Amino acid sequence: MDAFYVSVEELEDPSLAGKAVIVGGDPNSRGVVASASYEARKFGVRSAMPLQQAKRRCPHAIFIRGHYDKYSEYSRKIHRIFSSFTPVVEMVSVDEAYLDLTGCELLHGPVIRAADTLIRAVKQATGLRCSVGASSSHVVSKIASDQAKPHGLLCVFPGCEAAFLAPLPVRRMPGVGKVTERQLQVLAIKTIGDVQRQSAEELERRLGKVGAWLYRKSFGQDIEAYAWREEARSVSHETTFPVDVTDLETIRQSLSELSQRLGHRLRQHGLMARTVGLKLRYASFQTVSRERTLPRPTHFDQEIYQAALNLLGATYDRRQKVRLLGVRASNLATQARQLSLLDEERERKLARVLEAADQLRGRFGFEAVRLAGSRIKEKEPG
Amino acid sequence: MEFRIPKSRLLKELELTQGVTEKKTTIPVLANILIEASEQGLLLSATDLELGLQCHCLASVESGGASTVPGKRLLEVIRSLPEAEVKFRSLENHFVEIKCERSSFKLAGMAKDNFPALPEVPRPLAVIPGGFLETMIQRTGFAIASEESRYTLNGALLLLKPDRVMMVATDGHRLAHVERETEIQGLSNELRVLIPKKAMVEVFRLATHAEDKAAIEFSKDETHLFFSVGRRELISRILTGQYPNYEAVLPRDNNRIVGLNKGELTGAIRRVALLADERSRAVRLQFDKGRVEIFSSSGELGEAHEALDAQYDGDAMQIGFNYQYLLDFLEVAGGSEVIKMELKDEQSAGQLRPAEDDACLYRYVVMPMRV
Repeated sequence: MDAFYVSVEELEDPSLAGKAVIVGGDPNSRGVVASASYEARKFGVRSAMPLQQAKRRCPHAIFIRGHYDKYSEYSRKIHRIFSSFTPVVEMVSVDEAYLDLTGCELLHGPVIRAADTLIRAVKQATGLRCSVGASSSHVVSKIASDQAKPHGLLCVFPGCEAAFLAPLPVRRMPGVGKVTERQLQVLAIKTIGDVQRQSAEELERRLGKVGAWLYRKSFGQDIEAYAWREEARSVSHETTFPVDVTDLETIRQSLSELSQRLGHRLRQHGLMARTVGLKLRYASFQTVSRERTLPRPTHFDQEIYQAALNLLGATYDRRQKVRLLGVRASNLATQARQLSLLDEERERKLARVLEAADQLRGRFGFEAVRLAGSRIKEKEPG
Repeated sequence: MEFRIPKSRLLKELELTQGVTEKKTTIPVLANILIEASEQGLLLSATDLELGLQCHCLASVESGGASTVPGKRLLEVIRSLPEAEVKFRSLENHFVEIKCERSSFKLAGMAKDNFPALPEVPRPLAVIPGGFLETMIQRTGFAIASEESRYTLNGALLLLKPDRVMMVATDGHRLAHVERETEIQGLSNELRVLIPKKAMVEVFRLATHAEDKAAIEFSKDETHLFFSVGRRELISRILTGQYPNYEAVLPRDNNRIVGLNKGELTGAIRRVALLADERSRAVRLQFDKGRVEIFSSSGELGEAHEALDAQYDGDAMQIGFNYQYLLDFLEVAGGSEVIKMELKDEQSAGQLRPAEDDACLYRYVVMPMRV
């Protein structure tokens, strides 16, 4: 979706259309930009940029705190449209999805036409604009849709993947961040084409597994033919407080909320965490991370929360104000789960409760069900 | 203080104290051993405040007194000496001089007053015949939880009755249970105590080092447990709290019974485990009439399987286990060549036991893994 949150806001309040709009919150607080309109982006505002910086770059922008329940509602609408197109829909976030159109030619015609129909269907049903990248693989489709933005369609035909990717900077490749980029710069690799010219063995020798992975991806090949997903190494949730906090109760409530979001994500992906980590950033920007490995893997909100709370007790320097709080699950396990001798009945019940909660969240949004004692964001007036 | 003692006699006692002496302590004197010399001989004491050990031994004492010296360093010094008589003499400022043949050491010690006083050993409540506890500890100790929020699981339950001894340990995934009939002297009622894991290890060491399978005298007060073996006494802080109701989880209607050769099973599990997922340690057991097949697979490593003959004529079934849990049992299961695996279904606890019991009744309950 193009500037998803902002577009939803524009639908709800048409007077915003064509203006520089930033969703994220009060520009004087320390949140980050969640979404910016294309008008605001002209001034250099980007997602994840601190709001205060955004304010400096684009002082006339309209700042909105955001209506996340609305975004979820639109996200579900879009999901329904996608699902009516093809049964194989992989929603990777609220506003991003992969659709497998294999075998749908008779229904939707050639892929370009299908993509065009999809863009129009979304526009008609929701009033929102989206961009589509179409190709034979996830990685190329993802990059193509980024290139197509806003409101565009880019189709990379089979056989053209490598040529399409070659001129792009490596950073465009999903999964290549600052660290890998720096490592690649040392090897004088700047574009994806530079990667293609290396030998797979050399890259693997220099960068380890990432090298082999990058090499294949540079030609537009997914690691697996279908259901592509890099095995997650860790899952984390963090929040920056609107104002620095010292109140332990507020911190605990946020920790509970974050733990539940983490548990929910783990369960959605069928994962369990063996290690739970806590991240604290103080007002001084000093950042402390601590983690602890649990006696056995878990995806229960309460167990994650308890572990995070223990870490908080051992880590938090109460003389300092807290700016940011995060919870992280790592050392993830997928398959086997050791059943408990003494608590099996309790755990079975707990699993059922959480399953029901997750179902409710699937229909009504994450905030539909929460543990007592978690922080509930106040509704914005009006 | 001044005394003489043969090297080997002292070395044996010092080695025993090492398990108790605290190595990473914030209280420096706990890294030391207290040596007290009197007309009765020597008394060596070590403690980490959770556990204390006192060893009496004979020595030719010229003048009585007491000193504390660093335990590890003292052990290293004594171990390095030739087989001869060692002379101890306390000097000024808590130094202790150690001489043996042509070697001479001056070890910096600390004042005796800093060393915590160990509680008096009360009159024994029960006398457990020699050679009993070693086997029981060996067969249950591994199942004690090493890190657990339910701290009572960090110890084993010892149950003494006038006609039997029982020991149970569980970490919440598996449970080991041994029972042995014997007459317990001095006991009229049932006695239930939780022994911390570290104390179990030390009781085991004491029992195996005891001369001629000496009996173990057991006693307790409100805060401590006492185990006396010969001239050595182990004192442990008591572990209080509610031990889980283990009887409720002992399987009753596991009617799929599989007989397996212990050696073959152990070998097969060890081999198949090499390619099991390293973190979950899961293996899958598939039972069919007359045979069992063990499978493992790991996304990174590959997969393995092995088939063995089994005495089984029930319906086909499969069940997943943590291979380490199975091996832990097989390693200590005793002399019986055949192992019985009693199962219900793939979600319920399985029970393992030797087909023929030796003096101990041994059963091991292990919860499966969902694979």
